[in-house]
Amino acid sequence: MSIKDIKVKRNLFLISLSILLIFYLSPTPAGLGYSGKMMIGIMFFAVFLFVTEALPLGMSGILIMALPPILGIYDSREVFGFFGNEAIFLLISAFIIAAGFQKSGLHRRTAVRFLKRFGKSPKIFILGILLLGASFSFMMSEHAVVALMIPIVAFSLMGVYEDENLRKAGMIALAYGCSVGSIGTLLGGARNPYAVSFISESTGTRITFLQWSLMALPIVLVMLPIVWLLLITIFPTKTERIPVKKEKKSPVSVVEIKAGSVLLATVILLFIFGNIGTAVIAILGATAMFVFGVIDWKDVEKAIPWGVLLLYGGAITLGKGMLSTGATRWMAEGIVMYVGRNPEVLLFVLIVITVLFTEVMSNTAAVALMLPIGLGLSAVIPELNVVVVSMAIALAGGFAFALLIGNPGNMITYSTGYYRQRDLLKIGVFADIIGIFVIYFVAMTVWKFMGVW
Amino acid sequence: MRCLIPITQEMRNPNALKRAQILCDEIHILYVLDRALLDRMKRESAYVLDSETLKAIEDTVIDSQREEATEFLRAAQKQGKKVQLHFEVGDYPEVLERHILRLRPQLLMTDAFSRSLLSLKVPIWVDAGNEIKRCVFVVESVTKIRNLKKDFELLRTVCGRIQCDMGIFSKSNERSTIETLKRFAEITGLTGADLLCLQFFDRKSIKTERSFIILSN
Repeated sequence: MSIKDIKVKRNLFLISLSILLIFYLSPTPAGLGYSGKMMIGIMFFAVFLFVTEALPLGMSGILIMALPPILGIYDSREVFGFFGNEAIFLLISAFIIAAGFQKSGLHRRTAVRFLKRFGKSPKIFILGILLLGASFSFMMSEHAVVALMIPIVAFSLMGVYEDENLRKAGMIALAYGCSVGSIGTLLGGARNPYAVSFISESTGTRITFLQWSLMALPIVLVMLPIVWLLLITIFPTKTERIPVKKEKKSPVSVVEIKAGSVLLATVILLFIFGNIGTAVIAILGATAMFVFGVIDWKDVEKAIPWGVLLLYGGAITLGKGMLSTGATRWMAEGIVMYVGRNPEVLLFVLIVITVLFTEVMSNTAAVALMLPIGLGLSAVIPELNVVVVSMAIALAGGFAFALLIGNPGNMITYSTGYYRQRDLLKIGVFADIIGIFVIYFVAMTVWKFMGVW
Repeated sequence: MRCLIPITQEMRNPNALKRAQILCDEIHILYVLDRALLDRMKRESAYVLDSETLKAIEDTVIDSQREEATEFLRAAQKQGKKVQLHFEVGDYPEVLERHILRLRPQLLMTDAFSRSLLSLKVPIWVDAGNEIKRCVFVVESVTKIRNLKKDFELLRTVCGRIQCDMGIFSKSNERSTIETLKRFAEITGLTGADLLCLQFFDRKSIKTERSFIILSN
């Protein structure tokens, strides 16, 4: 980092501190105590840090944990106790399982075979990339999937240099496929276990792995064909057939079979016995990766992205702090004053704001900021079902289609040089708007039909 | 004529590449993978991916951009001109400056103007891709035209190669100059030029839809 960058970041950090100072010095509004006021201050402080990235996101996460004890809101033991949470262990176990899968090389074989089946027609090939990203993101973090698939997709697209649109569509399809797929199960993104855990601890409502997927998969199934249609319409391809690339065939190794079996068994167990505790089953899956000799501890040390886990700590501190100090209720009452008491309108507004937030900051951060507000609203308006609000926010948090900063997957695929920022913006704006309506539509129809509200 | 065309992910310069096929004898394509882009990608992804994965992504990015650059070379070579590709990962302005010093191009060709180009010691053609029938050399004063012999020669070559008429326009208010120019304009009708050749950069003289060459600053 250059000296100039360090100075800019330092100044941004000072500005973020000044936000806290303003809140500290300002009078406490009626209906809100000192703790609530300062938790709202911490929320604005967090928004500023998440958007500007004056500190790395993981560092922002643990700093947020340190603030309530400094400001006299919570005892430090209480704050750090938030970290001992099921979702953290689900995430760690999921990362270990993904590391085993990655090390075995099974992802490459599966991806290459998968794409071959979607083979020669460019439009179907783009659908193949979308489905590939989505299906892998059901089983592991969407960002890890982008990282694993990018060499394979880039290699596949190298033969079509005359068709710029096909390359654009193909690379964006990878990012979008992973984003859409990541909402499908609890394993797709860190925000999913966070939401489940937050709902469970705040309201006592437990959402199992199966329940999550039943609610989320309709959105995935609607969004994938829509995104595909957007891609092939906005970037019409002129290539008639994609040249077939010959790959050396090698026999499936024992390690690949072991890794694939463990992953598959874990996902099946999560679906069937998810009520025991998702983290419990995921820990068993992670253990199996060691027992069958797929990975060793060194692989785990390399594979766990600590930033996500630390950001999680900040997110849960923020959420719990805002709920218990009455800050969310106070903010919810303010929102109701302006937007009204119609639960359907409020739900729509929450989805829109979450999508806007997730476009400018990390998905987990956006969900962490919006979930407490959503829960506060459902406390003020009882007709606004708490599960519906929370799920809608958690799912909307995955839909960062338009900007590079919204999603590391967008940034990674962009950096290959296959498309430009304006290409992503061109399609992403439509995808965002459609995504908002799809979530809202599914929440209003399918979830009602399922008896969620 | 030796031309240098810088290319980045966001600046592909298709107009410049097309025009260079008519104008230049020797085309140098400088494909720069901006280090800032790689750093940004790593920064944005560092909290979700481990350093080993990030390194693997960086390698893939460099490979695919190198392949992209090679494709520019292939496309340019199809026209039968002598084309050389230079692929660099680094800070764009610094890489560009270094290649100007090393290759000594007579013209730097690009599609979009940026102020940072003004510090480069080379004439810059910002190509809007328009059809050029008339070009006008805008000078401070016609009386000093002798001092601009080198620039004048370059423009004569440029205008000759793209087969368009060339005129001179002065911004000074010397009476004799204005009279001369009026007569000149009447005869040649060069006032509505498609290509402006500027001795100095002047925002007012430049309309973005028109191509222009900045000679020195």
